[in-house]
Amino acid sequence: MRLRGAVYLWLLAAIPACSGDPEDDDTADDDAADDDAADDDVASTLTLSDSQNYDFEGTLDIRPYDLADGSDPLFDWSGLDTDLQGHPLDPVTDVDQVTIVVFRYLSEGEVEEKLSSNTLEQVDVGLFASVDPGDATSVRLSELTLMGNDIDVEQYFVEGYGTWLVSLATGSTPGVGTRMAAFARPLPSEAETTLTFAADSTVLDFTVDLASLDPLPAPAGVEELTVDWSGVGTDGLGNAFQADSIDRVMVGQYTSLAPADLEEQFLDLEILADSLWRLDVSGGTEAALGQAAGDAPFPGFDSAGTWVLALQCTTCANPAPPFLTLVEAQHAAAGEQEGAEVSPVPR
Amino acid sequence: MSESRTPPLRKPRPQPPRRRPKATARAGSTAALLAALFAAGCGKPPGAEDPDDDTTPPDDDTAPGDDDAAPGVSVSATVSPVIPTVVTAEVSVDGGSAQQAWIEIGPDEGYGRTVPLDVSGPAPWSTWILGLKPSRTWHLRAVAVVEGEERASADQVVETGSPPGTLAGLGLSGSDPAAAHEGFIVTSFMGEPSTAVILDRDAEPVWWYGPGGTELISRAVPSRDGRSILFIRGVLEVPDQAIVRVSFDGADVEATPTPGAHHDFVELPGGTYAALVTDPREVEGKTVDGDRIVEFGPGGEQTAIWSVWDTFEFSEASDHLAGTTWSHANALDYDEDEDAYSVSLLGLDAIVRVDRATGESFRIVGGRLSDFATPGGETRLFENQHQFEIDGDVLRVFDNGTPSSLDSRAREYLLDDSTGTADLVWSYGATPPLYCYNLGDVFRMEDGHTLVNFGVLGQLDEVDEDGEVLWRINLDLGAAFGYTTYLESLP
Repeated sequence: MRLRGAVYLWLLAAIPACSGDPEDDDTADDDAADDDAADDDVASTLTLSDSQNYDFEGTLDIRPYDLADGSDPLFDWSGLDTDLQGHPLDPVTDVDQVTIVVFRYLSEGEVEEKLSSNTLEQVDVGLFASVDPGDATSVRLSELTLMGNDIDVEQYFVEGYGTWLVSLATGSTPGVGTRMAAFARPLPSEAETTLTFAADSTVLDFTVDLASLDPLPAPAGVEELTVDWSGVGTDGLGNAFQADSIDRVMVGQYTSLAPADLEEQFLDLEILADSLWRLDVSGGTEAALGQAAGDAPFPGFDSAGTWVLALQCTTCANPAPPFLTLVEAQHAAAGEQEGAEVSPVPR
Repeated sequence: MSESRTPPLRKPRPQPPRRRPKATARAGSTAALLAALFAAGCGKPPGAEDPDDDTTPPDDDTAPGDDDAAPGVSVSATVSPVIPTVVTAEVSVDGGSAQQAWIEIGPDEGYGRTVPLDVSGPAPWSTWILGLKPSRTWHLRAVAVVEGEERASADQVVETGSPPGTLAGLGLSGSDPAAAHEGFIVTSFMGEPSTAVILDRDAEPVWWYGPGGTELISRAVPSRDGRSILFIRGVLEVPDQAIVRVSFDGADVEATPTPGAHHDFVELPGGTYAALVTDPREVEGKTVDGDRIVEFGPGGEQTAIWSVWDTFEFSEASDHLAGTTWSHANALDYDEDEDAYSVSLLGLDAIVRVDRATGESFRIVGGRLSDFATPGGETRLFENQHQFEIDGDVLRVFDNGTPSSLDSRAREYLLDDSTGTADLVWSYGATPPLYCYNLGDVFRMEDGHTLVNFGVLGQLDEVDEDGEVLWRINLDLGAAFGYTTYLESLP
C-alpha cells in the first residue's frame, strides 16, 4: 500500500531540502553518536535553540480547472515545460507518477492552507489513486489505481464528493519529486473534459528570513561535533517542533553566497551548495556531524562563506526544514581548550 | 547496563493467590491466545499491593552495607538496542535462590509498577519490562524474598529511546480520553515503511518494529506464548510473503515463508499458522485468483483447509477489484472451542464459517448465499466489509460501504440461527461520515466501549454505547492503521 506516495503530495518537491536521494547518504549510527557524545569529553556539542531557527512562510496558489461532472477527464501535461519551482521540466522524462488525492471535507482554500502549514491528517484524505504514465504525457482519471487496484476512481468524479488535487511527480520514491499540481472541479454545467497543466497551475510563494535568527556558534575546524536539538520547541513554520520527525541533518557551505542570497534562492539551497553533507538519523535528538556523508569528510566549520545547518523531515507533508540556521565558526582564543562546550551566543 | 546490590529489607510480604491478568481479544479465537499470553504473568507480583502491608521498606536501615552478613540482591538492566522501550532486567541474589522476586519500576523512586520474576529456575532470573513510554528516564529496582526476608537492590536508572522519525506521528483527541481504555493496542502503521506498533492509552508508541522497505504489514498480533509479536508481511504481487515472529526485545526475528498469503492470519496451538492464500484456478482458459485457507506447520508443511471455489461460484460479473482475488478474502479468525475458522469475503459481501476438520463451510452471513436476513428479508447485511468479530450469536463487522453510501460503519448484528434472522442492534459511524474504502475493523471491549478502526483513513475511535467518541487517534498524513488487537495489559 503506497500510501505515502499518494498522500505526501507535491509539496515534497517544492523545497530543495527534500530533493536529495536518501539512498545517497549513509545512515547515522545513533548509538555511535550517543557514545561519542557521552564518552568523548573533548567532543563539542552544538546545542540548538529556537532563537537560532529561521522563519519560513509559504503560500500555495493552486489553480482550479472546471471539468465535466461524471466524466473521465484527461490530465494533459504535454505542454508543461516548467515546474512549480520554475525549474525546467521535460514532460516525457520528468513525470513518473500522476496522483489524485480527494479531500472529502476540505475546500480548496483549506487544502492550500493545510498544505502550507503542514497540518493535514490522514483522515483528511478521502481517496487517492496514482499511475505511472510511462512515456505518455497524458492520462485519463480512470487509469489511476489504488495500489494497483482498479477502483473505478472516475465514478467518484462528481460534484460534492470533495476537493480533487491532481499532481505530477518525478521519480517513484513515495512522497518525493512532485513537480506540478492543480485542482480538478467536477461541475454539472461544464463540458470540458481535459485538464491541461500549465506553468502557473501551481504558484508557490514563500518568504524566508535568515536575517533575524541568532547564528549558531561552532568551534572552527572541529570535525567531531555533536548537534543536539533536544531544546528546540518551535519549527521554522511556527508549529510545535516534533523532534521525532527529524530524519536527516544537512550541512551546506556556500563560499560566495551571503545569507540574503540564500533567502532569495532558498528553493535551490542544496543545488547551490559548494559543499554538502547529509546524515540520516532515526530517532533521538543528537547526531554526530563527523558521520555525515559528502564528497569529502566533514572538515568542521570555518570562516569561508556561509554555512547552513538544517534538520530535515523527509517524510513530512511540508518538507521545509523544521530547523535551519546559519553557523558561525568560532576560533578558539589562546589557552582555550579546543572542543569545549559551546553555548549559543545571540548575535 | 547498570548493576547494584543491597541488603535485606524486612520480612516477606504475604502471598495471596497469583492474580491472572484479564485479557480481551479481537474475537473468540484470540481470547485463548491472549489468555495464554497473559499467563506469562503481568501486573502486580504476589502481595505487591497489600494494604495492610507493614513491610514497607524502612527509610534508613536498608542502606547498602548495613548488614554484610545478609544475602544481597543485584539487578542489571539493559535497554534493547533494537526496540529501545524494552528493558531486560536480570536479577540474582547471594546464595542463588529466592522464594519470590519482582522488579519495581516507575518514573521516579516511588516506582509504581511491578513486574514479576519467575524464580523457579536457577539464578540469574530475567524478565522483559514492556509498556514503557519512549524517551523517558525510568527508575527500577529488584526485590527478592530471600531466606524469609524481603530484600531490594539499589535504585537503577535507565532511559528509553525514541521512536524512529519514519514512524508516523499521531494526535489524540476525543471527549473524554480519561474514560477510555487503559490497555494497549497492537496494530500496524501501514505506509512506507510499514511498522508493527503497540500504542498505550496515551497514544504513545511503546513498542515498534519494522522490516523496512516497501513490505506491507497488515496484521500484527501477540504470539500465543506471550514472548513475541507476529506479523504478516508482503505484497500480493510478489510471492515471498511470510509471517514474521519478533521477540519483544527484538533480538530474535524468525520468518516463516507463507507464499501467496495476504491480509490476515491466525496462530494455532502448536506453532501452526493459518493464513488467507491466493488460489488460482483455470476458468474458461483464463487464470482467476480466488482464496483459500492454508495452514503452515512448524516443519514447513502446508495443508489446504478450504477454498472459496468449494462454496461459491465464480462469475465474470463478480464486482471485484483488479489486482485482487475475486472473492477478496480479507479477515480470518479461528474459534478454538469449535475448531472452526471464519473468513470475511469482501468480494461476496459475506462472512463464512469453515469447519477445520472437514473443510466444510457453514453459517454464511451476508451476500447472496446468506443463511441470515434482516427482518425485512435483506441479505445484504454489509458491503465491502473488512475485519469482524463473532461473539456467540453476535457479529460485529466493519462495514466499509460503497461509493454510493460514503459512510463506513461498525455494525453489530444479533444472529438467530433458528429463524435465520439478523437484527441490527447497534452501529457507529463517524460524524461527518467517513468513507473508509480500505481496511477497517471493530472490537468490543469488556466495559461496553467499542474500538472502531477506520483503517486507510488513519483514524481509530473508542466510542461508548451511545456512539460518543471518548478517545480518538488520527495518524499524520501518510499512514494507515492495519488491523488492531486490544490488550488490557502487556506481559
